[in-house]
Amino acid sequence: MLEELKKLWRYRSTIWIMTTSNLKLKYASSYLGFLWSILEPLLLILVYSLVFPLILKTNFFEWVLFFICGLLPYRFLNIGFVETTRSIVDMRNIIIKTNIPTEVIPISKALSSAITFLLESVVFFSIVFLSGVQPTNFILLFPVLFVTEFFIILGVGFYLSSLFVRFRDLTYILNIAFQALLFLCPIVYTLVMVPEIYRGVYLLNPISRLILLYQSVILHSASSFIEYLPVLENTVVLFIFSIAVLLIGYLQFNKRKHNFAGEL
Amino acid sequence: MKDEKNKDKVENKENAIEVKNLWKQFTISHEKISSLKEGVINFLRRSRVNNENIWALKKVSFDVKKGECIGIIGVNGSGKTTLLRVLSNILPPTKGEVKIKGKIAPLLNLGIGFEPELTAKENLYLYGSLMGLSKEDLDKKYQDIVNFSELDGYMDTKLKNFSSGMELRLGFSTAVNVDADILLVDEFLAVGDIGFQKKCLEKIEEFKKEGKTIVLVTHNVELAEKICDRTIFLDKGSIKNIGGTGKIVNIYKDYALKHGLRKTAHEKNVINKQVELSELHLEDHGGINETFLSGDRFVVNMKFKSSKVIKNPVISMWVKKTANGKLSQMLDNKKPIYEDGKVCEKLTGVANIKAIFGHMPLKQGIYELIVSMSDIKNNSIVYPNTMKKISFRITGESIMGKNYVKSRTRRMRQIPIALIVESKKNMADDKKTIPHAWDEEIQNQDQIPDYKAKTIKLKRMGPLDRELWYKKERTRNGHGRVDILNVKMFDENDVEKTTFENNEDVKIKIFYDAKELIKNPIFSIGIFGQNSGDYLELNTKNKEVAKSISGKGIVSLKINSGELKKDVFKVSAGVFAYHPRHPKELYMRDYPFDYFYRCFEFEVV
Repeated sequence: MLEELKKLWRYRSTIWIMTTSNLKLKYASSYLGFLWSILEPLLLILVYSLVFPLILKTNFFEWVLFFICGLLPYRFLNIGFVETTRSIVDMRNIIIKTNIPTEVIPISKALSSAITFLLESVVFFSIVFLSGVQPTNFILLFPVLFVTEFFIILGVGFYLSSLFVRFRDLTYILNIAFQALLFLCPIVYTLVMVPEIYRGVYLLNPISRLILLYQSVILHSASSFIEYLPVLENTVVLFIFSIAVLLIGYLQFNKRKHNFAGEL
Repeated sequence: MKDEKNKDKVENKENAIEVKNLWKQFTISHEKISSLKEGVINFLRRSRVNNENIWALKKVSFDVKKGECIGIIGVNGSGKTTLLRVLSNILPPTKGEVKIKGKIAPLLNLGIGFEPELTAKENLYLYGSLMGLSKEDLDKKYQDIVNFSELDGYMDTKLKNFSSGMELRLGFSTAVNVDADILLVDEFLAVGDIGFQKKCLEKIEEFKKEGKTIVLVTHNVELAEKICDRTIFLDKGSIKNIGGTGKIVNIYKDYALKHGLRKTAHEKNVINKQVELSELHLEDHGGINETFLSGDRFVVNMKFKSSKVIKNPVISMWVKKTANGKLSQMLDNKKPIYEDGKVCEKLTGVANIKAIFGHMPLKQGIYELIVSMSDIKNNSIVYPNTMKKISFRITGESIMGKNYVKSRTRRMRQIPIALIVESKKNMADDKKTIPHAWDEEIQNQDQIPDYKAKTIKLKRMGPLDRELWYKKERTRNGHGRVDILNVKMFDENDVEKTTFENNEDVKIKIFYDAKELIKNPIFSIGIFGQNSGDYLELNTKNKEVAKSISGKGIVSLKINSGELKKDVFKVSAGVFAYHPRHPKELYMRDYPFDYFYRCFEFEVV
């Protein structure tokens, strides 16, 4: 494995060039270009904020801030998973005709979605802070959370992309899963709204925890659930968990990657 | 002196590539498991039905010395490319060992990963990095590459605006700048014009001088003789011979001659010139024409003359938009020709070949169509005298046009095309295929029962709609695997009529000629009331007319008395393919075999 990683390191500039190409491609053909990556979540927020504050009978303004904190990491996860899963099949030409390490492809896809997320974060979280929320020291944990999420995406993406070579209906399942995930995680509603008896089960979902952590790191006002969820400890546990996911995903991927060229 | 030195260099050098007892197996599953359901079912059955194992490489062993140029020749399917891919570490060997010392660069294809939406510069970086160059290397070599490709000034243009030649140059210039000790080259020298090939050759010579190891896969024995020190002759996955290029090439030539695969260049030229395209004209549903409507049927009529037997003829067609001259779009490359529903394997004498495009998907403009015939088994040689062009013009849209015209001309490839040889008998009896004359003949054939028009859909259109409908001209489209020969109206007693009483049943009969076996055809009729704007539609969609049809036949559809009011009715008739993916919709738009739009008429008084 060490040798594989060494080889991967040699191809770091390939990863980088592919990542930037992915980003350019994504926005090159539309008129508004990169603005879309801001506009898309903005419009989503608009649509949701017309409905949910009414249903949940909460303060409109607070709800929007809360929603932003959940939506961005959710989008990162969604786009990252889908893109990395499809990557091997989409780039089949490169796999069967060049000898670059196969890992380069899902990594570059995950990276490009990570960069999109970072740019979105800069814009939206500065809106959050400009609107009067005071950042606390917890904000220093944001990079850790980002890396944690990136590792999870990469790890699961490795595994799913190798499966997708054989099972092409995986994307449908993923789409449905993400529709469900939007409501299974505290994105549009707060943890407090979950009945207390279910909370233990609810928090078994690492994604829920991840999103809760994002929310408490950015909006410390949402820290009403900190008693359920000590931020620091959880971040550490989740980080270790993500490393495990990455490792397992990578090992699985390595086991299968030699067959890709033949199966594609 | 220099030669000796070179010899020493080769002999004393260590091996760059060592292949020992290499085996490579492919599993070809005839039903590829690509959905989860099938995967689960297969898993539960614990069986892998329909899997076939093929040994693509068998017991291959050889060494390549450092600085040596080795050629790999063999007929198609002999495993050359597989071997190259195993050497490149793209495919893992099933058995055996491959040892490689030094950095390898597989040049299996030019321009892998090229993205049309990115600029030439971005593509250069992308492709270069895929070839294993780092960003710093690319920064350093960038100017060299641009100079070599002679594309200075175009580097900020999007690749989609490049001609294929420019794309090729960009790919090649980047590829040859890879930093590697061992180059694995698949036959990309075969593409491009003579100037480009010359440039490739020079570059390979340069590599040799630099002491790089080269493995070259090629069909071109002359090329192998020119540059390879040694050559491997692969046959059906195993090494048949290995040794000095001159010797191996002779063995290969003998082998190829024995198997009828290859003739000397001179022989080929003489024979190939005997095949000639003597006539080329275009037709729409009305006959020979030079102007067309998009959406209409488009027929290319070709007359070939040949004094020798052409085996496995295939026809290639390109369309070029003449306005900017840039866009050269492959229409349909190397498509087999059908004769009486079977792939035509031999052509000789005079042959009329028709390429029928179901619909013309191009937009308004002036275009040029280029046609050529080639022989797919004989190294894809294009017969030189068969290359001809003809220009045509698209003036507007037919009624169906809107459905067909796609924004991207690339879609041209996807439209259904029938390439058929009109047999000589047909040509002599050409008049016979015109309706009316063969009615009696058809009556003897098995008649398909009448379909009572129970499910008539009656739509009444508003006046505005009506006006729009009537403005459109009559037209025909469809690619002609089934032709509608005629449509006639009969009364209950099978008497042909064009004027009916109000209380009479109207039987509409479609006379068709299916040129091959067609499964689940759908016949459809549309009736437009000239004055009232009534629109009736009936089809055999959900009632199987016949599981399959072939040859000539009749389908009749009945409209019960009283359904039609006093009016003059225009009739459209069509045959469509049943498409399992869209059992309920869109079948009309996507897959017409033949469709007459408002071409027939009857009256109810």
